[in-house]
Amino acid sequence: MTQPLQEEFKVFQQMENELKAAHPGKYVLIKDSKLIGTYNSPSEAISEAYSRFGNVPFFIKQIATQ
Amino acid sequence: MPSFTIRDPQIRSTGMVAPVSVCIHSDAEAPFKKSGIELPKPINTHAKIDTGADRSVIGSGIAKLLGLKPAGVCSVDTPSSKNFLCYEYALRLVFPNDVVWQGIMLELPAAKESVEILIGRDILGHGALIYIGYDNSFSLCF
Repeated sequence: MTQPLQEEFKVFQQMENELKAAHPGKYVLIKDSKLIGTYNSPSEAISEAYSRFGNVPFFIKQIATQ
Repeated sequence: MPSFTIRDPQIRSTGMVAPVSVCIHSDAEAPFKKSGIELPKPINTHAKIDTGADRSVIGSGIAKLLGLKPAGVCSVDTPSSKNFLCYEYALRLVFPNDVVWQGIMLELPAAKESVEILIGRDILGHGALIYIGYDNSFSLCF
């Protein structure tokens, strides 16, 4: 059985450079290999994640600044 | 802005330690209620405040006891391995006097489950910490 969020982590690493250029410092939400959105704070990302998906694994990470 | 103060004559040896209740994140309550699952009871434990730690961590028992699902993954270097993947969880910390912080914390896996918490500069960066040595006390607010 695969560990949760392995796919999401891979997707984030693949998109990282593109995200750094377009959304530095913001928070990204990824679920099931899809980029759901970028947010100004972890609270906004968490709120969106729970509201949209419920109590399931989801991936939130701050995008590094350049 | 509420704050709390802990006065401990042993503070020089034990460090800054505060009682804390660990709960699910407030945004997680609605999904629990919607699925008819009783909200997990808060875990009463202690948090050690460490200004030398850049990242706050929770013991490996907390996420399991609260039924939390991971909210992220982080690559961590340990003395014995590089790029070790650790999970992150969204949760809420309730300190004395209703001082609350909520956000994402890193779980440090260990051979033995624990409910210990370490508060580092990532969380302290959202608040104000005052340590008064001659009074054996510290205060924290967010």
